[in-house]
Amino acid sequence: MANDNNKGSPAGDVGVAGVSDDKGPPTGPGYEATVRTGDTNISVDLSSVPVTVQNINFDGLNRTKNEFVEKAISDVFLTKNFEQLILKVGRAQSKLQSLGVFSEVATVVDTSKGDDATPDGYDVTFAVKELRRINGGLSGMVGTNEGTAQFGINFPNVLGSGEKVSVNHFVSSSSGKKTEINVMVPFPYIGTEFSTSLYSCESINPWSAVTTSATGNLLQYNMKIGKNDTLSIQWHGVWRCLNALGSRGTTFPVREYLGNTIKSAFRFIYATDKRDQPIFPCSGTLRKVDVEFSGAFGDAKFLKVETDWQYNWSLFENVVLQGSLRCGLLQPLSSSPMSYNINDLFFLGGPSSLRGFHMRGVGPRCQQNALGGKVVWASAIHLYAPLPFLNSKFSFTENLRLHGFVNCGGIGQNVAECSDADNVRISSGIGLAYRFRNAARIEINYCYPFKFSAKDRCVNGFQWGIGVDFL
Amino acid sequence: MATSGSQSVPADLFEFDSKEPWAPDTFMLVPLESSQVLVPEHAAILGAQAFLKIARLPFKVRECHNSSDISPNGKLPVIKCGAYVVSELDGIVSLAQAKGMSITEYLNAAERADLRAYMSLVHNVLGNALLYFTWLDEDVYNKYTKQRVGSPYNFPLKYLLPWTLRRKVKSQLNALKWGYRTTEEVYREVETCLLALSERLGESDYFFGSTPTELDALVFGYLFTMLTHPLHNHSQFSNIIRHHPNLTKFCKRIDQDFFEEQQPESSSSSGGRLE
Repeated sequence: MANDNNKGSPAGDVGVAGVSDDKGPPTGPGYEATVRTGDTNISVDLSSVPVTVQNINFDGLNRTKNEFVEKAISDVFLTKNFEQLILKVGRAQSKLQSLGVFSEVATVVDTSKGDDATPDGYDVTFAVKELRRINGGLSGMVGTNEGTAQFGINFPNVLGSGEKVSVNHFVSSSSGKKTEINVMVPFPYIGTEFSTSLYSCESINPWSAVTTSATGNLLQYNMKIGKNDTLSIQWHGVWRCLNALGSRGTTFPVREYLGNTIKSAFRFIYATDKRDQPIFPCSGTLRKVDVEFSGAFGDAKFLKVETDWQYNWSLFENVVLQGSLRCGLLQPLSSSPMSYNINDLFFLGGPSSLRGFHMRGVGPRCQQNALGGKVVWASAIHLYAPLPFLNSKFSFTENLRLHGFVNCGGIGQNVAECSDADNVRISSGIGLAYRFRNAARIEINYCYPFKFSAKDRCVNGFQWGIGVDFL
Repeated sequence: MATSGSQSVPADLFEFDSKEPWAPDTFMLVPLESSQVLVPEHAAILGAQAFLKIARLPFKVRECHNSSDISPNGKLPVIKCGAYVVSELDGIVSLAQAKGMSITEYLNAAERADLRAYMSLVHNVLGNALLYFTWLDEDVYNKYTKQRVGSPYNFPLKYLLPWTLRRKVKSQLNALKWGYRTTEEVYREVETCLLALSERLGESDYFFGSTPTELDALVFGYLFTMLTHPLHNHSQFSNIIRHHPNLTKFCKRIDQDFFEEQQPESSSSSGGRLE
């Protein structure tokens, strides 16, 4: 904490709670500085200290363009008193950090010096450290019951406005590999970003015994609307070639989908997320609508709609009742056999959708191959509670929940088939779920499926699941 | 892919359940006959159909745009019999054998070896010659192959797919040294092959006496296709065959015995008329 008493004005690093000052009595609520001198407490109302920000300096700005950072800090010039100064500088600092071009952002607030310095004049200096031109890395990710290793080279802030180019190679534990070149252009001040990704991937789908080699481009425009809403507009153009996995395991109904198709799809994803946190929320709702229209050109022609709802009610002290519903519908827009393929269809079953059944183990199948359906629904009711007899002071137990659940769902080729009472699957169980770094969830459950059809592959007993997106 | 370049799976690698009889709802998957099928594919399909008709095994023909993708080894034709999906004449013959339907039981070991040798000769020479003209001859490729391969697809696959398939066939033929041959060399190969066939056939009805075998089916498929489906300005094929009257007579005989009289309603599946 630095004090500069020759003007009787406080100065120092932003974010410091106590600031000593020797003039002015406390006048009201708001930011107050208290200092103990001898045995008298002096309180100062910071909003009554007039401030004029005269200069804002950047230290360490090399290739980043001025216009790109100007907007983050322009608000600081409007400061009228010291309280605002602290708030606005803090806000500017976190904004600068969120631009993704600096590895460090530090701020120094000092009184103005020099010939044109006014008595209430302040200078703000942002000392930033830019990310290096190239960085690379090796990281691991968690998908639905699989792990993925990522090797990547990033070129952050290529043109000085936060543009990022990255080349990534992913190798997954069970489902193939992917190489992509990604270009991202952010517009952080209007809450949007544009990205395009050129990729080539080989993926394995063991549940239907097919492999897919896909080469394509994904254009994405993501925007934040208000506090809770996000909209993503995507165009996805991809050449997909489906092949049989191995020489014998692929049955004829799956083989009929094999071959080449080109899909050109527009996709709109609108989400309203009012939950307090994405994993183990205590309150709030999530609503998500995902509409995909394929058929601008190319062979695949269909309309696909998926919706997600999740409601959370906090009953008492960390005991949360959660209800969720997921529905999906695929409508082919042409009678051609190329209008959709097995990768476009819906599948049901597995720890992240319908517990008590094997992964994609519910619904139409031919021998060992899951055939998928055009209509799907799944719902879950959970009761989450912290573990009894354990205090939640340790982060391990804080991230652990006991839960009981009832899952229902159905899958079929049309709405009538799906809503038929005979086609409803119900399972229930209890288990432990662990939140891993607020990004993934691991759970082990004892499941008991009690309504299923003869062809379903049930899990009557322990089932574990790892992933991000759980029902 | 139509051209995986892999050798066909040897018959003994298939583990067929021989207890089940030949499924009555067996069907043969072929490319769209009016717009998509290519001359080499047509020859292979016709040969397999001739075999099934000779063996009196019932089947229906079903057209679909991705029949070669459905095929386990990328080759045509594809047969779905019960739970089995089998491709090419060799695969179909061993499937039929597993179901107790063999048309070569009367052959002795030496004749069987002969049969295999002639079948691989026909496969290698006539099969590759047709591939050569269909894919490597610029005229044929641009005026015929490109349009037909792309026909079931929309833009842009309509143009991309023929190009990628051509690259595959090229590398496949180059690996077999066929890609480097000139047109004249290919014709000479075909002439030699037909001469050998004509000499083997002699004046008998079929290659092994008075009853047809799968070799007869295979040869019929190729010769009948070459006679009735002239590739763009390559009519020499039919002229070479016509030099051997016993071969044209042989084609006529199989066409009449198995495609016209037996099942008049499906006679069009042989796809042409001999004058």
